[in-house]
Amino acid sequence: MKVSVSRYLKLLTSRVRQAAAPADVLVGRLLLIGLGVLFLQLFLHGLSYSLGVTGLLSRGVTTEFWSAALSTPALPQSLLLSTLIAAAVTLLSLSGSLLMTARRYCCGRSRCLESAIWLSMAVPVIVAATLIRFWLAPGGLIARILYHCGFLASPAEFPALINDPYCIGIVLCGTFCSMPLLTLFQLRIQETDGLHLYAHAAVQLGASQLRAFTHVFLPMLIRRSRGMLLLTFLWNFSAWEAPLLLGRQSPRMISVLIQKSSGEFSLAQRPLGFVFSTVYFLVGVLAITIVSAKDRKHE
Amino acid sequence: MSDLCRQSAASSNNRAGFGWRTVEYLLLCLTIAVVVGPLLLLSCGIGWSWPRLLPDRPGFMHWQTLLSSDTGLLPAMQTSVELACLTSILATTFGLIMSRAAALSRTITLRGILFLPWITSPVVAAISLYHLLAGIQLAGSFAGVVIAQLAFAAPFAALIFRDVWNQRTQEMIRLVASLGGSTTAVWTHAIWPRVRRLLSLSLLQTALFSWLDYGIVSVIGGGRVDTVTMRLFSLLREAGLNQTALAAIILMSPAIAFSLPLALQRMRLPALLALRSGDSE
Repeated sequence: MKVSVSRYLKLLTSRVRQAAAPADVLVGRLLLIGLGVLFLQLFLHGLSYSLGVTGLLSRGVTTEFWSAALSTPALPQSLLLSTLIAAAVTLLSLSGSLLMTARRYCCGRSRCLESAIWLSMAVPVIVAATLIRFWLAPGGLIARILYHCGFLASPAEFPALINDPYCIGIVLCGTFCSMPLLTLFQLRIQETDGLHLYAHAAVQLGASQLRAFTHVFLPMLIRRSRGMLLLTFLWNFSAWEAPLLLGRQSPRMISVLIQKSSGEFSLAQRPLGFVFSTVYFLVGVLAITIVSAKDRKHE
Repeated sequence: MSDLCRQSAASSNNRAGFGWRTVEYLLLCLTIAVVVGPLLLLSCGIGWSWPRLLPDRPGFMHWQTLLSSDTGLLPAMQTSVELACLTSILATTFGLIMSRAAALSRTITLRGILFLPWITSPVVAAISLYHLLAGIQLAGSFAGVVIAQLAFAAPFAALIFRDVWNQRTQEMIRLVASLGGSTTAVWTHAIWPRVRRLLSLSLLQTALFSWLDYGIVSVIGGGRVDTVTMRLFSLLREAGLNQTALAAIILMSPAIAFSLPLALQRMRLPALLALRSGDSE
């Protein structure tokens, strides 16, 4: 009897699902497929350009650009640098946003902090990078204030915080621009999904408040914001303006490397830029496939 | 539990008088000072030699030049606003529909498509897109720029709505559908309440993306779509420190104008003021 009821329910829900696969879902699928086709075409265009099939100065099919690109250390260095910076920014942004959500969890809403987040979200990356230059450059505001306080004698004594080997300026800029969006997203998820109710249930069942927060609330929150975390990582992986203003000439982040090679100085270099962008695309596809496969495993 | 925490926090705030709220107000003021302070300081003057804290010749020279001369900033601003409005509305609508289709799909391919714009270098994508749009006579036109921006903004909006389609929402949708609700009823009763709160975030983010976009407009627009960002980027790249500060303020002002009402709404200033006057009475 039980089996027949569950089968009936399954049948009913599948019918409902079929009936509820309405026009908007079909339109959505079409839009997604169209987008996929568009980006596939862009990828194929880049690939054919890098192989000399198309292009203004093409001299027929050749692998010289691929062998030139793969033999230079610039590509692996840029990929490693971009990955490390994106990971550092994602971790810092997550820590900051978790502090905000923890504050909301234990003490309720803070309208003041939320306003600060909304306002800082309005600062574009290029302005944030300019601001970091104004504040942290050797001749910047902090160095001048320290000079007037008697801690510095000349700008040369100020530690390098921009265009530095550790990319402190880029990481700061990325965190400043990524954290507000991640925080707002997590606050919304917290509110919409009523995560505190689950933690409340855990406390009712005998868990301590800290345990309910760390074992119920946090895992649920992080699980729900995986998409946004991946987005934050990819966004910083492909960051362009901040590394351009605050980074060093070598090694460069991958976007800067692609842009500089895409014919800023000569059109003959453009295929090299397309080689870098194809590798970058493939690395991105690999990352997404791994994350999506993990998602699927969890489901 | 959290209610209890809130009550205790509120009572401790009342007791302390100078509690967390004051610290948070200070933090808000600090954010504003760190962001706006140096820009205002440097835009009002000429030169900034070491070790002076203020510009060498304070004054509103750059502001006067910008406001008085016929810089063509107003028509550029109008184009930018139109572009941002159109892109944000279309991207949010398409993104919402796409996110639902992606959530319902059983293959990872459709879900993975939403991440494609992030793994495509914008500069190179724009160069390739230009060739495609030139084929349909849309390169160098307003419509071409909107389409190119949508290819990046719509998946972004879809990712903002990605986590809306969880088990709970799906069950609500099934419930409304099984009770005989039409597609409209599903959207108004099951989806809208969950999506409503994310709409402002999506609209703001996609509008900002469009407003600040330089790569796509410069390549696809081919110089014929003149936005304010195009003009200001050239200032940022070529002009001196003071003009850069001025350009940064102008670049940031619409974003601040968009988010200030939202920030004020969160502060509930009128209610706060009413409370303060009530206290004093």
